[in-house]
Amino acid sequence: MSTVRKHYVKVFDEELDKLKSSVSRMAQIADMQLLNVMEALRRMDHGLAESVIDTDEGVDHIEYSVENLCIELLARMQPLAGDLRLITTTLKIITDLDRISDYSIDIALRIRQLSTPLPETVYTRLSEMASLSREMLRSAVQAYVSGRLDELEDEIVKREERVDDLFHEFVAHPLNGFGEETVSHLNVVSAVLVSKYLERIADHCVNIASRVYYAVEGRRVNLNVRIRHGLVRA
Amino acid sequence: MVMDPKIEVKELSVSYGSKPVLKHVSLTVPREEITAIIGPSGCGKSTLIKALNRMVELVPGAKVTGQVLLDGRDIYGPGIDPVEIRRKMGMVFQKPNPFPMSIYDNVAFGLRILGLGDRRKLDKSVEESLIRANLWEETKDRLKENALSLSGGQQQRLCIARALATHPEVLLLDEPASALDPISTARVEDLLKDLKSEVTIVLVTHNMQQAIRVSDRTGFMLLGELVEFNGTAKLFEHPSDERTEAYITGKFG
Repeated sequence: MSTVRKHYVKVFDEELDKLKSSVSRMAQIADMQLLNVMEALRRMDHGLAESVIDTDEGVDHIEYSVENLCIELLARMQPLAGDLRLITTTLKIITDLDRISDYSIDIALRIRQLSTPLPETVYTRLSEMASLSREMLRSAVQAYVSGRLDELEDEIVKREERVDDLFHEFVAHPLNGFGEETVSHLNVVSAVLVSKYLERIADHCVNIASRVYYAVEGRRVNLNVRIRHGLVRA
Repeated sequence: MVMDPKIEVKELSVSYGSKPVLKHVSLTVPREEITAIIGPSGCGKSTLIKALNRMVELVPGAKVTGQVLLDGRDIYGPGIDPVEIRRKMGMVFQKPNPFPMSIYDNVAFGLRILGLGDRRKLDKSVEESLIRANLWEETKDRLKENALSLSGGQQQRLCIARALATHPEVLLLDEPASALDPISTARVEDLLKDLKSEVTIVLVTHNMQQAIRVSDRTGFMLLGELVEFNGTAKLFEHPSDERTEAYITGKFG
């Protein structure tokens, strides 16, 4: 096991710690947004949905400050090797986190369109997709902060496969779970759209995990491609 | 593995008296590429570069073992003329050191030593060398002026022109830009990139960003040993050795 080394320039260590803290904070907000929007969806709670939308500005603010810090560190410290990989990875990760946040906002906006609550069986599948995505997000960000990969790849792969399966079920059988009563077309479409947003959130979590591999080990690992068993993505 | 290297260093060790300075260094320098050597002060990088053209033998008490092959021939082998080696391997030092004579005479100096006396041929060679060193336009109307009237950056390019005049096969540069301002440094670096298609270049530098900008391969030295030698992009993005990572990221512990 390699020794933990510190930079001769102490302030560099402090600023890298600050970078990681900010990314961690941004991830916590994105996680909370997803948790809250799914609760809003379950209860048709428009007030809670609006509060999720209101947090968008805060997420953008953190993204800009992290981006500025990265640029400053690149210019001032001229980092190399592991430090350079960490900073460039951070620039990519905050974009993924911002997109995750944006999709939660999209779900919140969708809630405005619903005429009635979604059937419980439909919501349960969507909720499972959200929970799996939140677990992936937490694992990936934990690996980014600690610099340790542990079982990250396995944790990500199995969860993303399940999210994919659930999404494809929504696309292939959109009426599943809506029962025999008159179905609101808007609700069916909304359910499929929400499943799409959650599938994209999962993809961004996988992106984050893949990028962390580059930051820590310097190798490119495309977990998405592995998960799709070598199928080429457009 | 480098096929048909210009220089091959095999188990090269140098000591000054009883003090070992280079320890079993082995590396290959590809043709028509820029190879950079980096490392902290006292790591042996200047000794290595001086060993490449036998200048290290001028240090009292220096002892050299191992081989340095130039085009497959050991330059320390029996019957090899060190002066001829130093003609083939031109050297430029950290501090510009133009001779206290005219710009023209600086460049022509080595050619005259080699016996070139024909004025027209000298004129042509001086012009060609100054063109190759990107200094002709700045000096063509003042060739008779004393070289010491040039700026620091111009003096260093003059030293490069002087080295190029004798048509070396290799150019060895020991921190050639460390005494220069950023613009002069950029011009020297540009010059090296232009020259590498004609001459193999080995560059010792403290400046890691310079190594990244100009070199194709980089070697990291520490305490007389060559720790890592790799493609420049690979070494600086993802070094194989922890000591290399620690040095280039400025870490200790």
